[in-house]
Amino acid sequence: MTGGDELELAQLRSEASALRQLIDVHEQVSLQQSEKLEQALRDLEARNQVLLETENERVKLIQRLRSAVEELSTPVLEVWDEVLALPIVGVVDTQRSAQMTERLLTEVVRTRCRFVIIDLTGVELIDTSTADRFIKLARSVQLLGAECILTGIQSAVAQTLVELGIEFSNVNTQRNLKRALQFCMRALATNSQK
Amino acid sequence: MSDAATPLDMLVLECEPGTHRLSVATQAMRFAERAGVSRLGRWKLGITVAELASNVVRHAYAGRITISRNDGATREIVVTCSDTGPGIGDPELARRDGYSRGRQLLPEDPRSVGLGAGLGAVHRLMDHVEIRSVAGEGSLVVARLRF
Repeated sequence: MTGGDELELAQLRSEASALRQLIDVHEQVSLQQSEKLEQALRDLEARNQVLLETENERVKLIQRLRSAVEELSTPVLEVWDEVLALPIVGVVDTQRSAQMTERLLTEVVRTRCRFVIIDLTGVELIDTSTADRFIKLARSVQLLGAECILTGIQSAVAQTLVELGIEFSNVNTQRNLKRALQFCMRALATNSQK
Repeated sequence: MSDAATPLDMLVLECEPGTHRLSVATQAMRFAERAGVSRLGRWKLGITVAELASNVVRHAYAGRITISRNDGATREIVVTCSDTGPGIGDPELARRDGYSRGRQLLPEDPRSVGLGAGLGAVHRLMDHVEIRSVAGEGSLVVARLRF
């Protein structure tokens, strides 16, 4: 070997060791980084878990609140002997109307009432589907031997109800709860005199 | 930047299964209240939107309802309802009460097919109703209410 070759070899060796060092450093850095990433991933997973639990709790809370609201939103009141009242507030959707019907019919049977007053003062909107449900509710009440009286129909509601194309003529309507109650008491009185 | 075709004062309501017809209607009624529509007008509009929303979900799976105010020669609220459903075969028949899907509904029809009263009610409640429909491509209902 010539001196020049040796020199070149020594240079190559030192370059190689420098490269090796670089690789070592690089490996170390990437190792640290991947550790950091893993840590971040674990943190995210933990946070996700926490979020999921909170979400589950929220869903449960909403369900609890909803059932509480449902309980509260369709009270069936015994306002007089043999007279029940069902004040309706807000929007009557399919689910709510099904619950309402079930509760009311159960109460009609349980209390053996003669009259049911459905008060619509606080109702938000009555479209064909909702109107149809009210009519069917009234018919079911009739089948159980009681009479349904609709009250609290406001002028805008009355004006739109006639345009719906749903037949309301078979249902007794009274101006308000007071009138309806008077009607029931009179009917009950005449009946007991017979 | 708003699209030139959509005026700023427009309410867009997407309807799809699970969309509640009454919640869509309530939003429309609030829009009308802001526009200065009377209580009676708001009810008419609310019922119209509820009927259109339930029709869209029932017959076309999904669609879009827009509510806007028109301050032209006659002040009016314009409701459009568009879908890409099967189309309304005979709009004249569809507006008759008790008709749905081109035939008269029978007492034994399940409740899920509807009452056949929706479009009839919309015609009676609104001042002007126009139905455009192409079989297999979809329908467009434009209903106008003066206020």
